[in-house]
Amino acid sequence: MSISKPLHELSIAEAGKLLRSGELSSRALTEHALGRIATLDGDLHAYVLVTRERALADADRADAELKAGTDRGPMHGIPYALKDIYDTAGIRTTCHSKLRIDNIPTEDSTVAAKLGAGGGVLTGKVGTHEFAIGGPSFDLPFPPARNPWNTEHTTSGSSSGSGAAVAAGMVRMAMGSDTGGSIRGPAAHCGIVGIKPTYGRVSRHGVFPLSYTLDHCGPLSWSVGDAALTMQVIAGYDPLDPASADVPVPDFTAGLGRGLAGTKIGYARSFFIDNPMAGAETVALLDQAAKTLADAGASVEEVQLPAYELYEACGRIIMFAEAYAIHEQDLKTRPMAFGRYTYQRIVAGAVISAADYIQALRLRRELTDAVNAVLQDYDALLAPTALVPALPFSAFGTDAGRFAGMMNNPFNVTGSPALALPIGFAGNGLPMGMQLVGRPFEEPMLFQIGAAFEAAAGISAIRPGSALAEAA
Amino acid sequence: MSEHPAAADIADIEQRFAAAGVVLVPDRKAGAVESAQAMLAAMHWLRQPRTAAAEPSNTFSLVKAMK
Repeated sequence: MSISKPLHELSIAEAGKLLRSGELSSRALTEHALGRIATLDGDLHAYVLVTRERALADADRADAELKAGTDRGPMHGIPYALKDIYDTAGIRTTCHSKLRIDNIPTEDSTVAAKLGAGGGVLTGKVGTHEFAIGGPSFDLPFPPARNPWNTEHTTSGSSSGSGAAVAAGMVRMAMGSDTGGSIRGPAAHCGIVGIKPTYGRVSRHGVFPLSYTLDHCGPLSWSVGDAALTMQVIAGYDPLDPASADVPVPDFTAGLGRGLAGTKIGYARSFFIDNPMAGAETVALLDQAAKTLADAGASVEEVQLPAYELYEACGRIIMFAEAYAIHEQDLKTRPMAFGRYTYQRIVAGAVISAADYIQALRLRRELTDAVNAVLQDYDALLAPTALVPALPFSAFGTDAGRFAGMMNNPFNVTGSPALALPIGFAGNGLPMGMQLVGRPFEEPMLFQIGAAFEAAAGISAIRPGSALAEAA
Repeated sequence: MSEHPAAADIADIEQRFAAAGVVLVPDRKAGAVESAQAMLAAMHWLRQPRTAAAEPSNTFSLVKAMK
Protein backbone atom coordinates (compact mmCIF):
# COMPACT_ATOMS: atom_id res chain seq x y z
CA MET A 1 0.00 0.00 0.00
CA SER A 2 1.49 3.33 -1.01
CA ILE A 3 0.53 6.72 0.39
CA SER A 4 -1.48 8.36 -2.35
CA LYS A 5 -3.17 11.15 -0.41
CA PRO A 6 -2.44 13.69 2.31
CA LEU A 7 -1.80 12.02 5.65
CA HIS A 8 -4.83 13.60 7.32
CA GLU A 9 -7.06 11.99 4.71
CA LEU A 10 -5.93 8.51 5.70
CA SER A 11 -8.61 6.68 7.64
CA ILE A 12 -7.62 5.12 10.93
CA ALA A 13 -7.68 1.72 9.23
CA GLU A 14 -5.54 2.93 6.31
CA ALA A 15 -3.04 4.62 8.59
CA GLY A 16 -2.93 1.50 10.74
CA LYS A 17 -1.98 -0.67 7.78
CA LEU A 18 0.79 1.72 6.76
CA LEU A 19 2.11 1.92 10.32
CA ARG A 20 2.26 -1.86 10.54
CA SER A 21 3.90 -2.27 7.14
CA GLY A 22 6.54 0.30 8.03
CA GLU A 23 5.57 2.59 5.13
CA LEU A 24 4.50 5.28 7.58
CA SER A 25 5.70 6.20 11.04
CA SER A 26 3.52 7.44 13.85
CA ARG A 27 5.99 10.30 14.26
CA ALA A 28 5.37 11.45 10.67
CA LEU A 29 1.62 11.12 11.12
CA THR A 30 1.78 12.99 14.41
CA GLU A 31 4.03 15.76 13.11
CA HIS A 32 1.58 16.20 10.23
CA ALA A 33 -1.31 16.50 12.71
CA LEU A 34 0.63 18.96 14.88
CA GLY A 35 1.46 20.96 11.77
CA ARG A 36 -2.19 21.24 10.81
CA ILE A 37 -3.09 22.24 14.35
CA ALA A 38 -0.40 24.95 14.29
CA THR A 39 -1.58 26.21 10.91
CA LEU A 40 -5.33 26.10 11.43
CA ASP A 41 -6.06 26.49 15.10
CA GLY A 42 -5.37 30.20 15.21
CA ASP A 43 -8.63 30.63 13.31
CA LEU A 44 -10.59 27.65 14.56
CA HIS A 45 -9.79 27.58 18.31
CA ALA A 46 -10.47 23.86 18.48
CA TYR A 47 -7.74 23.24 21.06
CA VAL A 48 -7.44 24.65 24.55
CA LEU A 49 -4.15 22.83 25.08
CA VAL A 50 -1.81 21.17 22.57
CA THR A 51 0.28 18.43 24.21
CA ARG A 52 3.05 18.46 21.61
CA GLU A 53 5.75 16.78 23.68
CA ARG A 54 3.38 14.12 24.95
CA ALA A 55 2.20 13.48 21.39
CA LEU A 56 5.70 13.03 20.02
CA ALA A 57 6.64 10.77 22.93
CA ASP A 58 3.49 8.68 22.36
CA ALA A 59 4.33 8.50 18.65
CA ASP A 60 7.93 7.42 19.19
CA ARG A 61 6.80 4.76 21.63
CA ALA A 62 4.24 3.50 19.14
CA ASP A 63 6.85 3.33 16.39
CA ALA A 64 9.24 1.38 18.61
CA GLU A 65 6.54 -1.01 19.75
CA LEU A 66 5.17 -1.68 16.29
CA LYS A 67 8.69 -2.22 14.99
CA ALA A 68 9.24 -4.74 17.79
CA GLY A 69 6.03 -6.55 16.89
CA THR A 70 3.88 -5.26 19.76
CA ASP A 71 0.44 -4.33 18.46
CA ARG A 72 -1.86 -2.52 20.88
CA GLY A 73 -4.84 -2.39 18.55
CA PRO A 74 -6.51 -0.09 16.07
CA MET A 75 -5.55 3.22 17.73
CA HIS A 76 -1.89 2.32 18.06
CA GLY A 77 0.11 5.26 16.71
CA ILE A 78 -3.01 7.25 15.74
CA PRO A 79 -3.28 10.93 16.83
CA TYR A 80 -6.48 11.90 18.68
CA ALA A 81 -7.82 14.58 21.02
CA LEU A 82 -9.94 14.63 24.16
CA LYS A 83 -12.73 17.02 25.04
CA ASP A 84 -11.52 19.07 27.99
CA ILE A 85 -13.87 17.40 30.45
CA TYR A 86 -11.93 14.10 30.28
CA ASP A 87 -9.45 13.84 33.13
CA THR A 88 -5.86 13.40 32.01
CA ALA A 89 -3.21 12.64 34.60
CA GLY A 90 -0.80 15.53 34.90
CA ILE A 91 -2.49 17.46 32.10
CA ARG A 92 -4.78 20.42 32.82
CA THR A 93 -8.49 19.62 32.52
CA THR A 94 -10.57 22.79 32.75
CA CYS A 95 -14.10 22.05 31.52
CA HIS A 96 -13.51 25.35 29.66
CA SER A 97 -14.26 27.12 32.94
CA LYS A 98 -12.60 29.58 35.28
CA LEU A 99 -13.84 27.34 38.06
CA ARG A 100 -11.40 24.59 37.07
CA ILE A 101 -8.72 26.56 35.30
CA ASP A 102 -5.96 25.20 37.56
CA ASN A 103 -7.29 21.65 37.77
CA ILE A 104 -4.60 19.07 37.04
CA PRO A 105 -5.98 15.57 37.62
CA THR A 106 -3.80 12.91 39.16
CA GLU A 107 -5.48 10.09 37.26
CA ASP A 108 -6.69 9.47 33.75
CA SER A 109 -10.37 9.06 32.99
CA THR A 110 -11.07 5.49 31.98
CA VAL A 111 -11.38 6.46 28.30
CA ALA A 112 -8.05 8.34 28.39
CA ALA A 113 -6.45 5.35 30.07
CA LYS A 114 -7.85 2.95 27.47
CA LEU A 115 -6.71 5.09 24.58
CA GLY A 116 -3.29 5.40 26.20
CA ALA A 117 -3.05 1.67 26.80
CA GLY A 118 -4.16 1.20 23.20
CA GLY A 119 -1.17 3.17 21.96
CA GLY A 120 -3.06 6.28 20.88
CA VAL A 121 -1.24 9.58 20.44
CA LEU A 122 -2.74 12.35 22.55
CA THR A 123 -2.40 15.65 20.69
CA GLY A 124 -4.22 17.70 23.32
CA LYS A 125 -7.42 18.84 24.91
CA VAL A 126 -10.15 20.38 22.78
CA GLY A 127 -12.67 23.03 23.72
CA THR A 128 -16.20 22.56 24.98
CA HIS A 129 -19.05 24.76 25.95
CA GLU A 130 -18.42 25.45 29.63
CA PHE A 131 -19.22 22.32 31.67
CA ALA A 132 -20.61 20.87 28.43
CA ILE A 133 -23.64 23.17 28.49
CA GLY A 134 -22.82 26.86 28.33
CA GLY A 135 -23.18 27.78 24.69
CA PRO A 136 -20.76 29.66 22.46
CA SER A 137 -19.42 32.22 24.91
CA PHE A 138 -16.76 34.89 24.82
CA ASP A 139 -16.45 35.40 28.58
CA LEU A 140 -14.63 32.14 29.26
CA PRO A 141 -10.90 31.40 29.61
CA PHE A 142 -10.72 30.26 25.98
CA PRO A 143 -12.54 31.43 22.86
CA PRO A 144 -15.26 29.23 21.34
CA ALA A 145 -14.35 26.85 18.53
CA ARG A 146 -15.27 28.00 15.03
CA ASN A 147 -16.78 25.97 12.24
CA PRO A 148 -14.21 24.89 9.61
CA TRP A 149 -16.86 25.23 6.90
CA ASN A 150 -17.38 28.89 7.74
CA THR A 151 -15.61 30.45 10.69
CA GLU A 152 -18.38 33.00 11.22
CA HIS A 153 -20.55 30.08 12.33
CA THR A 154 -20.54 27.96 15.46
CA THR A 155 -19.74 24.28 15.49
CA SER A 156 -22.77 23.54 17.68
CA GLY A 157 -21.95 22.07 21.03
CA SER A 158 -20.98 21.15 23.44
CA SER A 159 -18.23 19.00 21.90
CA SER A 160 -17.31 22.05 19.88
CA GLY A 161 -13.54 21.65 19.74
CA SER A 162 -13.92 17.97 18.90
CA GLY A 163 -16.13 18.83 15.94
CA ALA A 164 -13.82 21.54 14.65
CA ALA A 165 -10.64 19.45 15.08
CA VAL A 166 -12.01 16.45 13.21
CA ALA A 167 -13.74 18.40 10.45
CA ALA A 168 -10.55 20.40 9.82
CA GLY A 169 -8.48 17.23 9.55
CA MET A 170 -6.31 17.96 12.57
CA VAL A 171 -7.10 14.50 13.94
CA ARG A 172 -9.28 11.67 12.66
CA MET A 173 -10.95 11.23 16.03
CA ALA A 174 -11.72 13.35 19.05
CA MET A 175 -13.69 12.23 22.07
CA GLY A 176 -16.88 14.07 22.93
CA SER A 177 -19.73 13.70 25.37
CA ASP A 178 -23.46 13.75 24.75
CA THR A 179 -26.12 14.65 27.32
CA GLY A 180 -28.69 16.17 24.97
CA GLY A 181 -26.91 15.92 21.64
CA SER A 182 -23.43 17.23 22.33
CA ILE A 183 -21.73 14.65 20.10
CA ARG A 184 -24.40 14.49 17.40
CA GLY A 185 -24.96 18.25 17.13
CA PRO A 186 -21.33 19.10 16.35
CA ALA A 187 -21.13 16.06 14.07
CA ALA A 188 -24.13 17.34 12.12
CA HIS A 189 -22.96 20.93 11.96
CA CYS A 190 -19.36 20.05 11.10
CA GLY A 191 -20.18 17.40 8.48
CA ILE A 192 -18.61 14.47 10.32
CA VAL A 193 -19.62 11.27 12.11
CA GLY A 194 -20.50 11.00 15.81
CA ILE A 195 -21.66 8.02 17.81
CA LYS A 196 -23.51 8.31 21.09
CA PRO A 197 -23.18 4.73 22.27
CA THR A 198 -25.76 2.95 24.40
CA TYR A 199 -25.91 4.30 27.96
CA GLY A 200 -23.46 2.18 29.92
CA ARG A 201 -21.39 1.04 26.93
CA VAL A 202 -18.48 3.49 27.40
CA SER A 203 -17.26 4.46 30.85
CA ARG A 204 -17.89 7.97 32.11
CA HIS A 205 -15.42 7.58 34.98
CA GLY A 206 -13.23 10.66 35.19
CA VAL A 207 -15.39 12.67 32.82
CA PHE A 208 -16.92 15.73 34.46
CA PRO A 209 -20.67 15.12 34.68
CA LEU A 210 -23.43 17.33 33.33
CA SER A 211 -26.35 15.00 34.08
CA TYR A 212 -25.68 11.63 35.67
CA THR A 213 -28.43 9.67 33.96
CA LEU A 214 -28.18 11.30 30.54
CA ASP A 215 -24.40 11.60 30.01
CA HIS A 216 -22.80 9.43 27.34
CA CYS A 217 -19.19 9.34 26.11
CA GLY A 218 -18.33 8.70 22.49
CA PRO A 219 -16.12 9.69 19.57
CA LEU A 220 -16.50 12.20 16.76
CA SER A 221 -14.66 11.05 13.68
CA TRP A 222 -14.24 11.61 9.99
CA SER A 223 -15.85 8.31 8.96
CA VAL A 224 -18.02 5.48 10.24
CA GLY A 225 -15.05 3.12 10.10
CA ASP A 226 -13.00 5.47 12.27
CA ALA A 227 -15.82 5.51 14.82
CA ALA A 228 -16.14 1.72 14.87
CA LEU A 229 -12.41 1.24 15.42
CA THR A 230 -12.39 3.81 18.22
CA MET A 231 -15.28 2.05 19.93
CA GLN A 232 -13.27 -1.16 19.88
CA VAL A 233 -10.72 0.51 22.12
CA ILE A 234 -12.92 2.52 24.49
CA ALA A 235 -15.97 0.28 25.08
CA GLY A 236 -16.36 -2.13 27.96
CA TYR A 237 -17.51 -2.62 31.53
CA ASP A 238 -15.92 -0.36 34.12
CA PRO A 239 -16.67 -0.96 37.80
CA LEU A 240 -15.65 2.65 38.46
CA ASP A 241 -18.69 3.93 36.53
CA PRO A 242 -21.93 3.21 38.41
CA ALA A 243 -23.86 3.20 35.12
CA SER A 244 -21.48 0.90 33.29
CA ALA A 245 -23.13 -2.14 31.72
CA ASP A 246 -21.51 -5.51 32.27
CA VAL A 247 -22.18 -6.80 28.76
CA PRO A 248 -19.87 -8.33 26.16
CA VAL A 249 -18.01 -6.01 23.79
CA PRO A 250 -18.84 -6.97 20.21
CA ASP A 251 -16.75 -6.57 17.08
CA PHE A 252 -17.89 -3.08 16.11
CA THR A 253 -16.45 -3.48 12.62
CA ALA A 254 -18.23 -6.77 11.91
CA GLY A 255 -20.91 -5.22 9.71
CA LEU A 256 -18.74 -2.75 7.78
CA GLY A 257 -19.01 -3.51 4.08
CA ARG A 258 -21.91 -5.91 4.54
CA GLY A 259 -24.38 -3.65 2.81
CA LEU A 260 -28.04 -3.20 3.50
CA ALA A 261 -29.71 -6.29 2.09
CA GLY A 262 -32.30 -7.55 4.56
CA THR A 263 -32.13 -4.51 6.84
CA LYS A 264 -35.28 -2.67 7.92
CA ILE A 265 -35.21 1.01 8.76
CA GLY A 266 -38.03 2.98 10.32
CA TYR A 267 -38.16 6.57 9.15
CA ALA A 268 -39.45 8.76 12.00
CA ARG A 269 -40.75 11.40 9.60
CA SER A 270 -43.72 12.33 11.75
CA PHE A 271 -41.26 13.18 14.51
CA PHE A 272 -40.21 16.38 12.76
CA ILE A 273 -42.41 17.05 9.74
CA ASP A 274 -44.69 19.49 11.61
CA ASN A 275 -41.84 21.20 13.42
CA PRO A 276 -41.75 24.84 12.27
CA MET A 277 -37.96 24.68 12.11
CA ALA A 278 -38.08 21.91 9.49
CA GLY A 279 -37.83 23.82 6.24
CA ALA A 280 -38.35 22.33 2.80
CA GLU A 281 -34.60 22.06 2.31
CA THR A 282 -34.15 20.00 5.48
CA VAL A 283 -37.09 17.74 4.72
CA ALA A 284 -35.79 17.16 1.19
CA LEU A 285 -32.34 16.18 2.50
CA LEU A 286 -33.80 13.74 5.03
CA ASP A 287 -36.20 12.26 2.46
CA GLN A 288 -33.26 11.86 0.09
CA ALA A 289 -31.27 10.09 2.81
CA ALA A 290 -34.17 7.66 3.30
CA LYS A 291 -34.28 7.10 -0.46
CA THR A 292 -30.53 6.52 -0.61
CA LEU A 293 -30.85 3.83 2.04
CA ALA A 294 -33.76 2.23 0.15
CA ASP A 295 -31.91 2.40 -3.16
CA ALA A 296 -28.95 0.70 -1.50
CA GLY A 297 -31.11 -2.24 -0.46
CA ALA A 298 -32.75 -1.42 2.85
CA SER A 299 -36.47 -1.65 3.46
CA VAL A 300 -37.49 1.82 4.63
CA GLU A 301 -40.91 2.53 6.13
CA GLU A 302 -42.35 5.47 8.02
CA VAL A 303 -42.92 4.81 11.72
CA GLN A 304 -44.73 6.62 14.51
CA LEU A 305 -43.13 7.60 17.78
CA PRO A 306 -44.66 9.50 20.71
CA ALA A 307 -44.64 13.28 20.20
CA TYR A 308 -41.20 14.82 20.13
CA GLU A 309 -42.30 17.39 22.72
CA LEU A 310 -42.67 14.64 25.32
CA TYR A 311 -39.05 13.61 24.88
CA GLU A 312 -37.87 17.20 24.88
CA ALA A 313 -39.68 18.07 28.09
CA CYS A 314 -38.62 14.86 29.80
CA GLY A 315 -34.96 15.18 28.89
CA ARG A 316 -34.80 18.86 29.70
CA ILE A 317 -36.23 18.49 33.21
CA ILE A 318 -33.95 15.58 34.05
CA MET A 319 -30.88 17.31 32.65
CA PHE A 320 -31.39 20.64 34.40
CA ALA A 321 -32.39 19.07 37.71
CA GLU A 322 -29.27 16.92 37.73
CA ALA A 323 -26.98 19.68 36.43
CA TYR A 324 -28.21 22.05 39.11
CA ALA A 325 -27.58 19.43 41.78
CA ILE A 326 -24.00 19.05 40.55
CA HIS A 327 -23.26 22.78 40.48
CA GLU A 328 -25.55 24.04 43.27
CA GLN A 329 -22.80 24.96 45.71
CA ASP A 330 -20.74 26.93 43.17
CA LEU A 331 -23.83 28.63 41.74
CA LYS A 332 -24.67 29.93 45.19
CA THR A 333 -21.20 30.80 46.45
CA ARG A 334 -19.27 32.02 43.40
CA PRO A 335 -21.78 32.61 40.61
CA MET A 336 -19.57 35.06 38.75
CA ALA A 337 -16.97 32.36 38.16
CA PHE A 338 -19.39 30.81 35.65
CA GLY A 339 -19.76 32.23 32.20
CA ARG A 340 -22.94 34.19 31.70
CA TYR A 341 -24.69 31.60 29.51
CA THR A 342 -23.71 28.70 31.74
CA TYR A 343 -24.96 30.39 34.87
CA GLN A 344 -28.25 31.40 33.30
CA ARG A 345 -28.93 27.91 32.00
CA ILE A 346 -27.88 25.75 34.93
CA VAL A 347 -29.27 27.92 37.70
CA ALA A 348 -32.71 27.52 36.13
CA GLY A 349 -32.66 23.95 37.41
CA ALA A 350 -33.32 25.36 40.88
CA VAL A 351 -36.99 25.91 40.01
CA ILE A 352 -37.64 22.21 39.33
CA SER A 353 -39.49 20.49 42.16
CA ALA A 354 -38.98 16.94 43.34
CA ALA A 355 -42.39 16.06 41.89
CA ASP A 356 -41.39 17.50 38.51
CA TYR A 357 -38.27 15.36 38.47
CA ILE A 358 -40.13 12.19 39.45
CA GLN A 359 -42.77 12.80 36.80
CA ALA A 360 -39.99 13.15 34.23
CA LEU A 361 -38.50 9.83 35.33
CA ARG A 362 -41.91 8.15 35.04
CA LEU A 363 -42.37 9.55 31.57
CA ARG A 364 -38.85 8.47 30.67
CA ARG A 365 -39.73 4.83 31.23
CA GLU A 366 -42.77 5.10 28.92
CA LEU A 367 -40.83 6.87 26.20
CA THR A 368 -37.98 4.37 26.37
CA ASP A 369 -40.41 1.48 26.11
CA ALA A 370 -42.07 3.12 23.11
CA VAL A 371 -38.81 3.45 21.15
CA ASN A 372 -37.73 -0.08 21.99
CA ALA A 373 -41.15 -1.42 20.95
CA VAL A 374 -40.78 0.17 17.50
CA LEU A 375 -37.26 -1.22 17.25
CA GLN A 376 -38.63 -4.74 17.68
CA ASP A 377 -39.59 -4.50 14.01
CA TYR A 378 -36.73 -2.41 12.66
CA ASP A 379 -32.94 -2.56 12.74
CA ALA A 380 -32.67 1.20 13.10
CA LEU A 381 -34.67 4.41 13.10
CA LEU A 382 -33.81 7.36 10.86
CA ALA A 383 -34.33 10.75 12.52
CA PRO A 384 -32.91 14.26 12.19
CA THR A 385 -30.02 15.54 14.27
CA ALA A 386 -30.48 19.23 13.54
CA LEU A 387 -33.24 20.87 11.54
CA VAL A 388 -31.10 23.86 10.67
CA PRO A 389 -27.43 24.26 9.77
CA ALA A 390 -24.90 25.81 12.15
CA LEU A 391 -25.92 29.24 13.38
CA PRO A 392 -23.67 32.26 13.01
CA PHE A 393 -22.16 33.62 16.21
CA SER A 394 -24.12 36.79 15.55
CA ALA A 395 -27.37 34.88 16.18
CA PHE A 396 -26.52 34.53 19.85
CA GLY A 397 -27.51 37.38 22.11
CA THR A 398 -26.07 38.40 25.43
CA ASP A 399 -28.33 36.11 27.45
CA ALA A 400 -28.84 32.36 27.34
CA GLY A 401 -31.32 31.09 24.82
CA ARG A 402 -32.34 27.73 23.45
CA PHE A 403 -30.54 26.00 20.61
CA ALA A 404 -33.67 25.72 18.52
CA GLY A 405 -33.84 23.09 15.85
CA MET A 406 -31.77 20.39 17.55
CA MET A 407 -33.54 17.02 17.85
CA ASN A 408 -31.08 14.81 19.69
CA ASN A 409 -32.23 14.69 23.29
CA PRO A 410 -34.90 11.94 22.78
CA PHE A 411 -32.23 9.30 22.53
CA ASN A 412 -30.44 10.49 25.65
CA VAL A 413 -33.77 9.97 27.38
CA THR A 414 -33.99 6.41 26.04
CA GLY A 415 -30.26 5.65 26.29
CA SER A 416 -30.37 4.21 22.76
CA PRO A 417 -27.24 4.14 20.61
CA ALA A 418 -27.40 6.86 17.96
CA LEU A 419 -25.03 7.41 15.03
CA ALA A 420 -24.91 10.88 13.47
CA LEU A 421 -23.94 11.12 9.80
CA PRO A 422 -23.67 13.88 7.21
CA ILE A 423 -26.38 13.79 4.54
CA GLY A 424 -25.67 16.87 2.44
CA PHE A 425 -25.50 20.62 2.49
CA ALA A 426 -27.85 23.50 3.10
CA GLY A 427 -28.13 26.30 0.58
CA ASN A 428 -25.52 28.31 2.48
CA GLY A 429 -22.98 25.53 2.02
CA LEU A 430 -23.04 24.28 5.60
CA PRO A 431 -23.43 20.57 6.36
CA MET A 432 -26.63 18.87 7.47
CA GLY A 433 -27.04 15.49 9.11
CA MET A 434 -29.23 12.65 10.27
CA GLN A 435 -29.03 10.05 13.00
CA LEU A 436 -29.58 6.32 12.97
CA VAL A 437 -30.94 5.01 16.26
CA GLY A 438 -30.57 1.39 17.27
CA ARG A 439 -31.55 -1.19 19.83
CA PRO A 440 -29.59 -1.10 23.11
CA PHE A 441 -26.05 -2.42 22.67
CA GLU A 442 -26.46 -2.98 18.93
CA GLU A 443 -23.97 -0.37 17.74
CA PRO A 444 -22.52 -2.77 15.14
CA MET A 445 -25.81 -2.67 13.23
CA LEU A 446 -25.68 1.14 13.19
CA PHE A 447 -22.13 1.02 11.87
CA GLN A 448 -23.20 -1.46 9.19
CA ILE A 449 -26.04 0.76 8.01
CA GLY A 450 -24.03 3.95 8.45
CA ALA A 451 -21.10 2.66 6.44
CA ALA A 452 -23.39 1.56 3.63
CA PHE A 453 -25.05 4.97 3.59
CA GLU A 454 -21.68 6.71 3.67
CA ALA A 455 -20.50 4.73 0.65
CA ALA A 456 -23.73 5.28 -1.28
CA ALA A 457 -24.09 8.98 -0.53
CA GLY A 458 -20.46 10.04 -0.89
CA ILE A 459 -20.98 13.05 1.36
CA SER A 460 -18.05 12.33 3.67
CA ALA A 461 -15.60 12.76 0.80
CA ILE A 462 -16.50 16.46 0.62
CA ARG A 463 -14.37 18.40 3.10
CA PRO A 464 -14.18 22.02 4.25
CA GLY A 465 -12.87 24.62 1.81
CA SER A 466 -9.74 25.28 -0.07
CA ALA A 467 -8.06 27.19 2.76
CA LEU A 468 -7.97 24.01 4.78
CA ALA A 469 -6.95 21.86 1.85
CA GLU A 470 -3.93 24.06 1.24
CA ALA A 471 -2.81 23.91 4.86
CA ALA A 472 0.06 21.84 6.17
CA MET B 1 -39.15 31.09 24.25
CA SER B 2 -41.14 34.20 24.96
CA GLU B 3 -39.09 37.37 24.86
CA HIS B 4 -41.14 38.93 27.66
CA PRO B 5 -42.37 36.60 30.39
CA ALA B 6 -45.64 37.63 31.99
CA ALA B 7 -45.31 39.37 35.34
CA ALA B 8 -47.18 36.53 37.08
CA ASP B 9 -44.75 34.02 35.61
CA ILE B 10 -41.82 36.07 36.80
CA ALA B 11 -43.23 36.29 40.31
CA ASP B 12 -43.73 32.52 40.42
CA ILE B 13 -40.25 31.88 39.12
CA GLU B 14 -38.68 34.30 41.57
CA GLN B 15 -40.54 32.54 44.37
CA ARG B 16 -39.18 29.19 43.21
CA PHE B 17 -35.62 30.53 43.10
CA ALA B 18 -36.04 31.98 46.59
CA ALA B 19 -37.43 28.68 47.91
CA ALA B 20 -34.34 26.97 46.55
CA GLY B 21 -32.12 29.47 48.35
CA VAL B 22 -30.81 31.02 45.15
CA VAL B 23 -30.10 34.74 45.07
CA LEU B 24 -29.80 35.51 41.38
CA VAL B 25 -26.96 37.70 40.17
CA PRO B 26 -28.82 40.89 39.22
CA ASP B 27 -26.98 41.36 35.96
CA ARG B 28 -27.80 37.79 34.91
CA LYS B 29 -31.31 37.56 36.28
CA ALA B 30 -33.27 38.14 33.07
CA GLY B 31 -31.65 35.26 31.22
CA ALA B 32 -31.99 32.92 34.20
CA VAL B 33 -35.68 33.72 34.49
CA GLU B 34 -36.14 33.14 30.76
CA SER B 35 -34.41 29.76 31.00
CA ALA B 36 -36.62 28.81 33.93
CA GLN B 37 -39.74 29.99 32.16
CA ALA B 38 -38.96 27.85 29.12
CA MET B 39 -38.61 24.81 31.35
CA LEU B 40 -41.78 25.44 33.27
CA ALA B 41 -43.68 25.98 30.05
CA ALA B 42 -43.02 22.35 29.13
CA MET B 43 -44.11 20.95 32.50
CA HIS B 44 -47.61 20.06 31.30
CA TRP B 45 -46.10 17.32 29.16
CA LEU B 46 -45.03 15.61 32.38
CA ARG B 47 -48.43 15.81 34.01
CA GLN B 48 -50.37 13.61 31.62
CA PRO B 49 -51.90 10.28 32.76
CA ARG B 50 -49.27 7.59 33.21
CA THR B 51 -49.55 3.82 33.44
CA ALA B 52 -48.82 2.05 36.69
CA ALA B 53 -45.68 0.65 35.09
CA ALA B 54 -44.34 4.15 34.50
CA GLU B 55 -42.35 4.51 37.68
CA PRO B 56 -38.66 5.09 38.25
CA SER B 57 -37.97 2.07 40.48
CA ASN B 58 -35.03 -0.03 39.41
CA THR B 59 -33.66 2.71 37.25
CA PHE B 60 -30.50 1.77 39.06
CA SER B 61 -30.39 -1.97 39.56
CA LEU B 62 -28.60 -3.71 42.40
CA VAL B 63 -28.29 -6.88 40.36
CA LYS B 64 -24.83 -5.76 39.31
CA ALA B 65 -23.70 -5.39 42.91
CA MET B 66 -24.77 -8.98 43.66
CA LYS B 67 -22.36 -10.43 41.09
